[in-house]
Amino acid sequence: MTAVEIESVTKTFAGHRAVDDLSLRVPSGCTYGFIGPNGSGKTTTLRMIMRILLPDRGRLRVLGEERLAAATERVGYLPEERGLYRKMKVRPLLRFFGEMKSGRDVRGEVDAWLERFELTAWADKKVEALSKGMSQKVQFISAVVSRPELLILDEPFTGLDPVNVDALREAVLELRAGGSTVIFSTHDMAAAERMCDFIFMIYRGRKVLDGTLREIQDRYGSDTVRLKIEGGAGALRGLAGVAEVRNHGRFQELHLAPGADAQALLGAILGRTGVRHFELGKPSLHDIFVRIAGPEAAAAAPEPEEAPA
Amino acid sequence: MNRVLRVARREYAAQVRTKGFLLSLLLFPVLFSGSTIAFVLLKDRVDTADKRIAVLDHSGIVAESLLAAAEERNAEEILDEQGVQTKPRYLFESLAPEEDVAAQKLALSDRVRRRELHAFFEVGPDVLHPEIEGGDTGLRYYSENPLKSEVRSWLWWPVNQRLIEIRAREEGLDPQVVARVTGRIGTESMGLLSRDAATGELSGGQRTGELEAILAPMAVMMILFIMTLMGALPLLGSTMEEKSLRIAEVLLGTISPFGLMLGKLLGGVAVSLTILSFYSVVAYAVSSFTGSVALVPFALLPWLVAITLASLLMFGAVAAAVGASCNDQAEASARTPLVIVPILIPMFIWFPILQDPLGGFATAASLVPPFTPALMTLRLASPASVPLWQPVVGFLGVLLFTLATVWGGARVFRAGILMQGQAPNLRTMLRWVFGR
Repeated sequence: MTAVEIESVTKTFAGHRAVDDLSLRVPSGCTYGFIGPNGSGKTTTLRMIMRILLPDRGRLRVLGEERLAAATERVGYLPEERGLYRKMKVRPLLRFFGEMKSGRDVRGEVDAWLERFELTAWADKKVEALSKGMSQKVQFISAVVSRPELLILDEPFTGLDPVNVDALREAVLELRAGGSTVIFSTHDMAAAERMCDFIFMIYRGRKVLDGTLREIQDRYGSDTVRLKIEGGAGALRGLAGVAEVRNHGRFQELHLAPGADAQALLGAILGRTGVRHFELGKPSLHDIFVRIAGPEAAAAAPEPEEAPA
Repeated sequence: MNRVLRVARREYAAQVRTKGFLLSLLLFPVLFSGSTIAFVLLKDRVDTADKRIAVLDHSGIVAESLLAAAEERNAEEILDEQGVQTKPRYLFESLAPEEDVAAQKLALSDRVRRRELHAFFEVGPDVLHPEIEGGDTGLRYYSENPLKSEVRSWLWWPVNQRLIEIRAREEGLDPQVVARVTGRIGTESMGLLSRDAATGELSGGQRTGELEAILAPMAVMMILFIMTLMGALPLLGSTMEEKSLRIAEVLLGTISPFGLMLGKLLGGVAVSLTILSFYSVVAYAVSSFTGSVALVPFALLPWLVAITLASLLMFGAVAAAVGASCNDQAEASARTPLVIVPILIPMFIWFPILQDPLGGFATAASLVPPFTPALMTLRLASPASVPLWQPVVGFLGVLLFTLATVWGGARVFRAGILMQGQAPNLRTMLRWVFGR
């Protein structure tokens, strides 16, 4: 069963091709991560799935429906930039959004979600009185309160503290476990690696990656060395067989040049400094992202924080 | 409930459940009808201070009788039935013309400026025989404020009576006979009669003052103006808010752009009908209390409801489209005149239309669709009998124009609501309307 089917879709804005001949299939019941640098076409694709924008060419089928807005009430949407009526109180606002979607009374669901996110005390406060994190949680509730079959989240974790990120992540995974299909775009590669069954990367409007994390990593092979050394990163300068050195402070990551021998590299490093940890592995999603989109795009994507043991 | 109706309900609640709405409901009539209300309240409040007027009588035949007439007036006309003075005394002082009349008039003008005199009155030497060519037959009243003309208005009668009396004597006629023959009776302004279709009883034909002829139509037009302003204008701000806060993006994932705009328009219509209900109840209560129900044109209510609906859709569509073209409050403020000027124009031309409600200008202006709601309503509320075809044609014109503005507004709304960055100019908006 396919939740979203995109066939050869193109969307152009004033001469700029935001999405170029894109085809994608999102299976039902999975978590699908959309990654890509800013301006690469992620949000445009999500908006087309939501039927907020219409493609210039190609076909889109959402939850089996090709007709415009036919599946509207079965799709929940959290936009990249949060959209809440500042003067409305939280509870009526959530009821409005939920009932707009589902066409039924959602009072029970609203109260349950408010309680889950510890927002019950704020239910009768105006949105303008909420903190940014609270607003984001309210926005999330507005997207899920109608119990959608397909949930589309555009940058759901941006600007949230770790506690709220965890709370949101748990909620997303729970919805998925309940049968919902979740599509979310993110710049957080670690979150994408941890949460997504499939990852899709769009770059300059075109699909450049699509598959499971393992499939994607397999395409690049084991060409990445993570190591901890006694000397500083300077000791790795000018090593033969190394295409790129990335210094993360507590550890370093080396991208091997094609055909390079990892054992020879280890010997060369040991000749310069002591080695505490040496691990040959597949590139991280972040690494793959940077190789495709370049270091400028990496600025928007958080570095992986987990160091080798 | 339909999604369009949910949007309408939210829009309605967002506008009505505010202190500002209640305040506007109460203050608008005061602000916009302030001068009329002040006029009504102050019309019987006159300055009762003595008015001193110098008379410079070059004819030598008027001043004496004028002084006598003033004394008679001061004795008989300035007190009401309870003996309370309600009008000022007129105290005339007769001056002999000096050789240098210009200097004498300058001195009198200075006395007026020093408030020693209220005014001075100059009678030309040849007033008795205005038929003689080349003579000075003027009756000239000099004052600081030509608008305050109670004294000047009063002077006309005794001066002319005196002149007619002398002319009669010269012709050998008895002045009393002449006065009887030439006696004039003033006219009263009356409303038209009508027969009640159900009971067959005649009604109407009551005495109407100019004030009453103005007050009722003005009030009705003002209510329509307030309804339009309070129903349509907030749509500009709320659309801009939905765009700038990206709420539109959330909503458009649920409802089409046209559905969203239609819901907002219906919300605005509901706001206006709430205002109409409020003012109708107030008008009925006040007119019942004051015994002036006949003056309030309640028969216009069906027309008001229909024209409000069309008017709100017409101006609301423009407001929503303009709102969709703005990114922030500053842009919205700069573009507000696009919505408000067509609503305001009738406010500037209501008086000539009310003076001649059946004239060519009134007819033509009230058939221009953006002005039809206000001006046709004004004419219908006036005592004049507007031919039936005119409101019918006017309403059809408004309907056609409304369809066009809703259609065009929806196209601008759809294109503008998700567009960020520089606000589109008028040319771009027209391209959105007429482009493919």
